[in-house]
Amino acid sequence: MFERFCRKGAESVAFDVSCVWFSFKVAIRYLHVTLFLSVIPLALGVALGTPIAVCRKFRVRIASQVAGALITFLKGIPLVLYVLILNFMILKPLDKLAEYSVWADKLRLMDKIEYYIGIIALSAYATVVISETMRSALNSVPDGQYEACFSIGLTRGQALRSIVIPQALAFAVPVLCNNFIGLIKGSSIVYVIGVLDILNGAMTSAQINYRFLEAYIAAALIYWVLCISVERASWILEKRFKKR
Amino acid sequence: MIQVKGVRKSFGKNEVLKGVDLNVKKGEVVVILGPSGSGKTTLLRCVNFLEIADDGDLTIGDLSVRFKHATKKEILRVRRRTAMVFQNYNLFNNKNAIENVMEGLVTARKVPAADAYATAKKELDKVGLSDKYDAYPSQLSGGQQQRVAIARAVSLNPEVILFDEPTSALDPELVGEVLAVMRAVAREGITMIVVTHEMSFAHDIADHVVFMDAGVIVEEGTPKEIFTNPREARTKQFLDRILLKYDYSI
Repeated sequence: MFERFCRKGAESVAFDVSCVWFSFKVAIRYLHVTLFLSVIPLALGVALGTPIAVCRKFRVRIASQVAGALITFLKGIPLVLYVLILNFMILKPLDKLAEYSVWADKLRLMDKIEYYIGIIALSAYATVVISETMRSALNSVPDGQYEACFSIGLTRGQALRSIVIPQALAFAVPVLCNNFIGLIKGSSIVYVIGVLDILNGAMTSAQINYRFLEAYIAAALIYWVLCISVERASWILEKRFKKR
Repeated sequence: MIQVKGVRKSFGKNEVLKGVDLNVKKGEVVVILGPSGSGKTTLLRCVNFLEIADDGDLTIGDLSVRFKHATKKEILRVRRRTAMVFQNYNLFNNKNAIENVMEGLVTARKVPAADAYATAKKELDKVGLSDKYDAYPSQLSGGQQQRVAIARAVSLNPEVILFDEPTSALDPELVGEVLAVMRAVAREGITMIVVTHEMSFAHDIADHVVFMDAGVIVEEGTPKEIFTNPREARTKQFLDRILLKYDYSI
């Protein structure tokens, strides 16, 4: 029945475009997985990274030191290790707990638990990356802007809201888009823990016909289209901010 | 009336202000002169709490605070009675000229937007920028930016405007337009404390000239006294250098 999807069998060595198309069709069904694996970490990264950046910028006691140390440490770890380490850190204890608790057992056997682990790992990674993006964005606003705010009688909160954050955002948007592209591509790493995303979907299709090269190319095409779309969107956003 | 008493400020081991007293009457234009590093700018920044002085008192009208123990609320009250014009203009880069002037009125003073707009328009007209309401700082020349900054300061109707070397970052041909605006502001009877190296401005406009060196006030008096008949050797030396009264001119 597989000939229906890919006319030539495994015995043919020649590159086969129809097999690319077959893998493409299989992989695109997991588009939403890749999108969730990158959009959720992006959102969480902005939500968690921004306060961390603000704490560090204004040297909030304790919080800034803790965040600074943590981020310096986490920055030096490759994404694939985030995924693998978190996978073990969550699954191993859960296995142990499952022996005693029904609740843990249920959680362990939960559908798509690897998927959630992937999201947690990617979010942690995104928080580290984006907190640095936000920090440099805040630093891009000169001190003179704060001083001008204070001199006309704005409080620090008012200064941040109406002057500093809008300016920092104009700086951050193109960088965030780059971070997002990095997350889209980086999310493919979850295949190491068996999450079915675009890359892994393409690979399953190749397990039928051993057309791995074609499958990889199909996956690459999908990632490429995704990333290019984000980049184009980033240009439009940038232009809107640059008007100022 | 603005009164600064015994203000001291150190940056690390470097004592920049060593107990400075300054009295400014209402409507007066006080010009502070002095070589770089003498503490003039720091003095202004202390008055606006952009630097927190180590010691001393500040009185603005009926409001008295100790620099060191000022609460956030007191600092805000002082800042809302003063305004500052910076060397580097410091206009809000994400706002156009009219929004720059409106910001303090709307956000800090809670003036209704329509009233603030009218005030901002009037002030921009007064500094000769009636055709630049919608221009962003990046689209304005240095002189125009500084004029917007002056309009922003004047619009708040503060008890004193502090000018921190307002013409030092300008191209020479743009200095004149800014000084002209400052003269106009002075004529309106607004209290001004001006740090500048523009001797002609000090000579013509100031009611009171203060000469600072090494963190203390060396000499003060009317422009006539200071410029034609300085008592202190350091004042004389400084003026000679600035006014190029060398024996051998190049």
